[in-house]
Amino acid sequence: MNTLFLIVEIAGERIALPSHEVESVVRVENIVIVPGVSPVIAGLFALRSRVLTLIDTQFLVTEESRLVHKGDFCIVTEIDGHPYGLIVDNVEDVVTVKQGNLMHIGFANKKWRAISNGMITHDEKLLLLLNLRSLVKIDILVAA
Amino acid sequence: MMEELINDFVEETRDNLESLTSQILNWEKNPNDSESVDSIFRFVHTVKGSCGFLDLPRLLALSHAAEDIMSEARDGNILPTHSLVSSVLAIVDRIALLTNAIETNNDIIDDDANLITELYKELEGARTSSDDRHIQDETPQPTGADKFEPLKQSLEPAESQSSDQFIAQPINFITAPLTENMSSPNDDNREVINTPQEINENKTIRVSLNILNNLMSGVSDLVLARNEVSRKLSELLDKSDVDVVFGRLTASVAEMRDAVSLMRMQNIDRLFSALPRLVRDISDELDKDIELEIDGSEVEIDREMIEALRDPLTHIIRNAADHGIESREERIAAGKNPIGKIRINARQLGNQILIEVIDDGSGINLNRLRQKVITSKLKTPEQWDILSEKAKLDMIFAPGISTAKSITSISGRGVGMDVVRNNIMNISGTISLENNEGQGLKLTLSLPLTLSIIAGLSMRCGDQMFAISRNSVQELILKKNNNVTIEDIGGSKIACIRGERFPYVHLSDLVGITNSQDIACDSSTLVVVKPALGKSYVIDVDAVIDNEELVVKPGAPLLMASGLYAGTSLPDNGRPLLLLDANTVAEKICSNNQYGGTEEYVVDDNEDEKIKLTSALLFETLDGEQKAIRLSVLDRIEEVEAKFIGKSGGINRVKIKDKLYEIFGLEAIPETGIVKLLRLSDGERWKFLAVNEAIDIIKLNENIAPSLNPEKTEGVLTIDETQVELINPYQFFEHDSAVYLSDNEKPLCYLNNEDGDDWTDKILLPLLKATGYRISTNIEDIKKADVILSFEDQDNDIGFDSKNCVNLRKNMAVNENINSIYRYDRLGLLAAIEDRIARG
Repeated sequence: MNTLFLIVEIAGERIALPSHEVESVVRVENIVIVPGVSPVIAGLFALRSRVLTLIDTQFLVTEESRLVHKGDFCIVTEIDGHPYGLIVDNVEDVVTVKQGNLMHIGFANKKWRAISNGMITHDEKLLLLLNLRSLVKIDILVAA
Repeated sequence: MMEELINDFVEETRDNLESLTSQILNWEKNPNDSESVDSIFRFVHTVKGSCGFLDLPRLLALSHAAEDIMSEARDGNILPTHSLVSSVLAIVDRIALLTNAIETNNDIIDDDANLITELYKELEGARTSSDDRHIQDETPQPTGADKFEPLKQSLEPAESQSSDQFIAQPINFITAPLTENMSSPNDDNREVINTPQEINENKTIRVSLNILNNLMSGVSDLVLARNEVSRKLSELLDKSDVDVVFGRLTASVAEMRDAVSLMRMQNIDRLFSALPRLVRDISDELDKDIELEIDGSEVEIDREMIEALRDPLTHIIRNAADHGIESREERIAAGKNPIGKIRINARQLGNQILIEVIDDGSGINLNRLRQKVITSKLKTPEQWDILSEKAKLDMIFAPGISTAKSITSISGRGVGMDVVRNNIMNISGTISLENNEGQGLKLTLSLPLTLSIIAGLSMRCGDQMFAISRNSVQELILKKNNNVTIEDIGGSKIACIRGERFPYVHLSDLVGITNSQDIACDSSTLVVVKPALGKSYVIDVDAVIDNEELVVKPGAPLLMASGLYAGTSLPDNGRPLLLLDANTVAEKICSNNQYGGTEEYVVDDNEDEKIKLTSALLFETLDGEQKAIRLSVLDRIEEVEAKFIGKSGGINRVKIKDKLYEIFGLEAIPETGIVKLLRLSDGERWKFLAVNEAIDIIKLNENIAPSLNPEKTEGVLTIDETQVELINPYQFFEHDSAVYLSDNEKPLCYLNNEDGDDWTDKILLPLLKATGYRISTNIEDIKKADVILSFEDQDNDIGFDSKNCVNLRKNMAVNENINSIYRYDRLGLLAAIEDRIARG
């Protein structure tokens, strides 16, 4: 069975996201900064009537906050009833990957391991597979 | 296809189950209520039918058994005894459990057979007892079965009624052995389903929650889009054509928004329907007789609210039943109806829903509460004694307090009312108590109409906007106000407002904004926040922007983890707004502050009273002068339209709710506009003082300079280098005290007016009446009179020289009768009358 994946770029790496978990990809506009919270939260962004919590995915990997600009790509997803926007550097493409090409990793660095589900191969290249749910867990702060 | 049918079945059954329990209980209460019996029968019958079709054997067996019982009941063969009803309820519970299990794919242990056997046992029991009744009917002599007498009477009409209704039905008095009959369909009852079903007047359809939510967010989008268009439109110069169309759009968007919010509403009955069963179970367990009365089931309430209220309300009812209502013996000893009563009232009041839970139990025993509070070290005896009654009662909401004498399985473990109150507060509601010791307790929940819309106060800090729930805001005061000082003590700041000290935090420090202005700007405002628990504190913000109705959504867990925010909101401008959580912020401030921590968590009414006594309102009179008046006499400020003010009898009066009240401080009555009035009260009467403006509340210190005219001015204060008179409120009330005495208490004056003197009639009589005396000119009353008035030229032959007599003279100059008073010396005359009364 084949699965669709969205390929994005985070902190210079090409990452795959299971596309059924992705609602849409939008460019952010006016961002409202949320002071006093974990730096993982890049801000709030109103997508029509919904308020998305923006997640700084780069911070999770590099511990360096990424300045979010108007027009940056944001992956819209809903986890446990809360709408999120994942800020990524770039959005490449949606690709089809065979089920069997998923493998588990034993060598990725600790930060990546905390937020990924394994790897997939596409075009004979390895891609990390992002675990969206792990991005918004509270204990991600400890891991990060 | 099958899946869909099963889902439909589950949904429908679950819906019906909600009302079924109350039907069963209704049947128990009114055995001759054929309607209840019918609908219970219909339910089990429908379940049975569907189960056979859908191949759900366990449900089939259960519903079949229940159907048998109900069929017997419908035919009037059995009576709903307590234990029979319990068995039926057990079956219904199992049906509910199994129905839910179909959806969740859980396994439920299969001891259905036990329940069914139990049921038939009860059926046999119930039948025997009603057989007794039949025997009795045939043999009129009342045998030992006296206890069936009342039942028999209550059943007679039932029998005739039900046989009337089912005249066409074959009445089966003798049924085949039921236990063997279990798996074969009961053909006799097949046709019953054709009995006229209730016609459903409110046609409804089932819509999935997802669609509803989508619709709601769609409408919210629409509102935002409309706002955007409105902004764009305002930039255009010529928009007259568009304006009309846009107006129409606006109207229909608003209409749609209302309609959608109505869709969220549900009958509060959904919340109440589980309660009769709850009360029945508790009564059984505690062996008390409790009657539940529910009123206001038609009130509509937000769907989410119903879920949020379920636990707290259950807890409240349990409490009322367990430690409110006394045991049967205690009730009888106290001269009460041995059957305890719990009443639940729901009603809508503006945009509030009030739910009252009233029991006629013993109420809260303050002495026992005192002991509990003191032994759990929440208060010292001294602290307790100065608490107001309300503050004392509120202690039941303190963690770890229970007034139950003993711990039962239902309540009394001390976890409870604090959790209830927190739950209620979480949905922006409040809870209040009215205790009637020995007679019962009334508990009132007041809740917002919907969960998701709160009245918020938006404020600015740096270039960020925040909001806070207005319910928790106690006061707003400008930072530059002279009553405000910020003290820096040991690294933490304390705000001092009118002598009261609060933990202080600047919002930018609280949330960690670095770009906020360092220098306080003119609009800097202190927001005094009163959290649900803990002490009030002060947040300093750059500006308070507006009061807004905010649709609040819970924030993502990562956001909530900070403990600062209660959620997010999207106001009409489309920019997300963060809602501060007044309660968790309190914890943050108190943990960083040597202040608080162990501070009071109960609003202390006495403290409130103290503040009133030592504070005064600074105001500007209509002449533009600043004056002050003690807060203790001030009720409130009213704004009254000028047309309700008039001058009569030389006094300016205002008409409020069909009553006239005196106004002071008003020279000329304006023709139009609004007049601001301070309502003063001495506890019994209202007087009004016209003011230009209320300026501020000030603390009175000891430095009040004396005044030369203490009747009018208590003293002089110095405020910002200016002198301000502190008005003596006494002057407003001193005049008409006598008017309020009832007629019999007024002293009686006898007026000797045999000559029919005009002066006596026209001048003296009204004066005395207005002063508050009773007047008589009847000579018979002379003995009863407290004071006798006579004229010096009248004959003194009727004992007028007695010591309670006042002599009046017509000439101003004193003649030989030094004991007389000049008749126009009003003060002298009144003083003389008072003197005589005092002596008499």
